[in-house]
Amino acid sequence: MGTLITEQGTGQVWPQRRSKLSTADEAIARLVPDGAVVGLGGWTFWNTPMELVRAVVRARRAGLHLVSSPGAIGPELLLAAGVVDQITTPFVTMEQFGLAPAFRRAASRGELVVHEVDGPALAAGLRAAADDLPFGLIHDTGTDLPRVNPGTYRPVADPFGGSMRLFAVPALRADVAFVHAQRGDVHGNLQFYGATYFDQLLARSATTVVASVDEIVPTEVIRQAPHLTKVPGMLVTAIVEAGANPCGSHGRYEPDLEELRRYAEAAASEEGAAAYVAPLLASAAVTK
Amino acid sequence: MTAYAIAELAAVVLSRELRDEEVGILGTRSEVAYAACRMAQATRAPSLWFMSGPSGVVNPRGDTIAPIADVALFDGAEALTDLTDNIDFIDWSHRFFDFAVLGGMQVDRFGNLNTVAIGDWAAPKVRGPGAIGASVLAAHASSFFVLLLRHSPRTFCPEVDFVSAVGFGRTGRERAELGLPGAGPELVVSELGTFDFTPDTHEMRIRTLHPGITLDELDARTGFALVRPDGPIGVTPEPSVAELELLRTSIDTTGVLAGGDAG
Repeated sequence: MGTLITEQGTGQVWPQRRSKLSTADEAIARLVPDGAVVGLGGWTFWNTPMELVRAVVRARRAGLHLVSSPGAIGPELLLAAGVVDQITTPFVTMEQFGLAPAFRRAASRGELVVHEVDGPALAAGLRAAADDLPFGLIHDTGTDLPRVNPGTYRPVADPFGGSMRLFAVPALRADVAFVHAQRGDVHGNLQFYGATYFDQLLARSATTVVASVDEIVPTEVIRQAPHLTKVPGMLVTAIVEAGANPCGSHGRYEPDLEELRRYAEAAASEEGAAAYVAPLLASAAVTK
Repeated sequence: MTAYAIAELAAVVLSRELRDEEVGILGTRSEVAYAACRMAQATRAPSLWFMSGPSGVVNPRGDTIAPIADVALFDGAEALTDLTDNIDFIDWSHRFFDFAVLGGMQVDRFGNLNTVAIGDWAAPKVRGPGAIGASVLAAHASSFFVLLLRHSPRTFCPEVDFVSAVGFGRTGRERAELGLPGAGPELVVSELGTFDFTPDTHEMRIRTLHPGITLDELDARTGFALVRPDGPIGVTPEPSVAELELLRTSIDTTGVLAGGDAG
């Protein structure tokens, strides 16, 4: 694809390096089928790839299994739009604006399959997937999590005869992971100005990765600060230039607290949540 | 005496408990705990270390209080560690953290915490945020502190509906049975007082009442019978003028704790 470069004098032509640049809607159409396991990066009000989330809602996907980092409006919007029917996450909250309303409603009514996990189970599952191992190993910490999620927390004996109480947790591989970084290039290199949260583990473990970045820059700019590239482009399937708003993006902009408050208040009722996501669904009708 | 908000009192009380040379970890909404660690470093524990679970930031040092995942804490911090690295400390290691500061929707008489669900888990009355890393920090940190300012029979209940972070378990004896490396909950701070645990039965015991709080009021607002200490019940020492000045002029300059919006 692209223009072929002619090496002067030899007549030999070589292909150009492939671009992974996409739009959010194109990437979702191509990589996120109904029923997909979708990994979501960021942390509550920071670095959540919100444009990818909105594109999933616009695409009217159904039956997704969301594997979410500790989240806020990211998982909330997907739940409010009804595109998710299973969730694996250690934490969903609207922080200072209260409990996560759509999560609370769906879980209380039994409309959502909740795979209740803590941080260690999520981390171990993602690591196992990244390492192509069937399961990860965590300690028994005496919680009620194994009681409500026996499919994830399987007691195992130490094969070397030790007495430590352990659980095996299955590898957790998303079909597609969504992450947000502050800048990147068309080849998928992702540079982070702050924390990376679960994003690196998600990118290493998922089958495909769609990234949004606040700014696409030339690869020469990436090369000037390679230590910022926390997810190298060979892990990334498609890259989209889009912001994280209303979440913040480390080192670039703050969360839009007024908009996050507006969501939390609107979504307190089912009608309010539906009204909040309605414009996204309406824009889908236009683009289709 | 200077007037103070209950969150300011809690920060000062916790700061006095933190020990020099120890390494601590804070969770996702930890404004009071953050202030306590900063105050401890500026006073009796200059060699204390603390980090944020979410962002991996070590020894942040701003003059305003922000949620611990917030980028505002990165400036001037001593390290920003990647989660891929720091989960070894947080999610696995038995020896890395000397203390954690945890919270919850409920705490019970054995110091178990619940951030998952009130009522039946499968059809909860209140669906909480989830267990996050508090499960393993409660089990593995050498000890942990509980900050649960809202004190009512619902929040201080006989038995949590879901153990998302273990104190002494449902029987008071589970830590030993499970072989958990940490000693468990050390101190609970609420809006009414401070509480420790009896060494034998591991039941929550009154340590001090906050100024102006009566024993009758405490009992009426607690969902179980609190163990009385041997001897008279003390009053929580109030923040000194110097402590409040330190808090307000170099740590919480915008009055997040004073505004009552924390914790």
